[in-house]
Amino acid sequence: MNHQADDKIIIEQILNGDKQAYTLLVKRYQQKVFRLCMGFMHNPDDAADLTQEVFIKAYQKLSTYKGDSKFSTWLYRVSVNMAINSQRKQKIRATFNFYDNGNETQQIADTRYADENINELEQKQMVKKILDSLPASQRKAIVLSHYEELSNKELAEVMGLSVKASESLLYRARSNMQKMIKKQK
Amino acid sequence: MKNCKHTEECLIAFDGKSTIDKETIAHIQQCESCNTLYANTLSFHEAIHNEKKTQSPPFLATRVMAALEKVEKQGIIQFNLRRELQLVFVGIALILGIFSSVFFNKGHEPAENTPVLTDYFFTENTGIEQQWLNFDNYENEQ
Repeated sequence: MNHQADDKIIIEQILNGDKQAYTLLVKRYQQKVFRLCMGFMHNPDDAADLTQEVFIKAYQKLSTYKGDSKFSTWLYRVSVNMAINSQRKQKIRATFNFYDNGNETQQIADTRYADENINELEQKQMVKKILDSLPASQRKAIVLSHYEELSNKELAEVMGLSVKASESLLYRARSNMQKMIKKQK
Repeated sequence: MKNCKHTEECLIAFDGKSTIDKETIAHIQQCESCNTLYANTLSFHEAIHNEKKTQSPPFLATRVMAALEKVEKQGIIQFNLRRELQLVFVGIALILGIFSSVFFNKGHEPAENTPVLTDYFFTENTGIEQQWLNFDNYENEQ
């Protein structure tokens, strides 16, 4: 039995009240969702928190999944939207807490990356800076394409665009990304 | 020899795994700015590759299910609390309604010193009403 048909059976079970069946879905997709969340959050703790939120939201909205597309496509859609919202909230929080927690945040970052070498830390900061500077739709496209390695067709399905439009979006995103990389000298 | 613009185009399409043609590589080796761009692009893709390798926490599924349980419980508690609040609100509204009707109707009750109107009709000094009542007699007088 393929995954897609299997997913639908599990979803039916869940909707019929078998909550424990959801564990199977979580175990099956947790690494994918976590990887996608890493693409937005860039640190494992925040990514794990976001992954948890995504699965809770997905459970609550499971009845809205019609089965027209693959479950993974639907889950990616939920994940990217939640990730973008989470980043917005983080930005707002950072704006209000800037003066209070600025040093504290830096200390946490320092401790977290204490064992990593400087080069890797710089690389991480560069990726975060570049991706965060992109508009939301382009960021979604880059994460789905580079972190999840989705094809243009799959990307189009998740983003709700035509294949041509998704290709164009991805090209613009990569082009903007390169401009930012150029500035990193 | 490829020029810088072509190299930049190539690097836009480069995803860290795809191959770059020999001529472009030759240009990158000679051109300093393209070399830097290539190095930074490689570094960027390497960082993404490292992030992708990060494994999800081992007990994430357990954590999710526990969180789900908690959220549902909170939801039930909130739902029950809302129902109880609704009942309390309706109760208070009923009590207020009854008391306010009693209170406001007090104003319409006759006070003790209010003359009883029924007596009025038995007095002889009925004023203009008397004339009106005797209107037929007036006509007869004419």
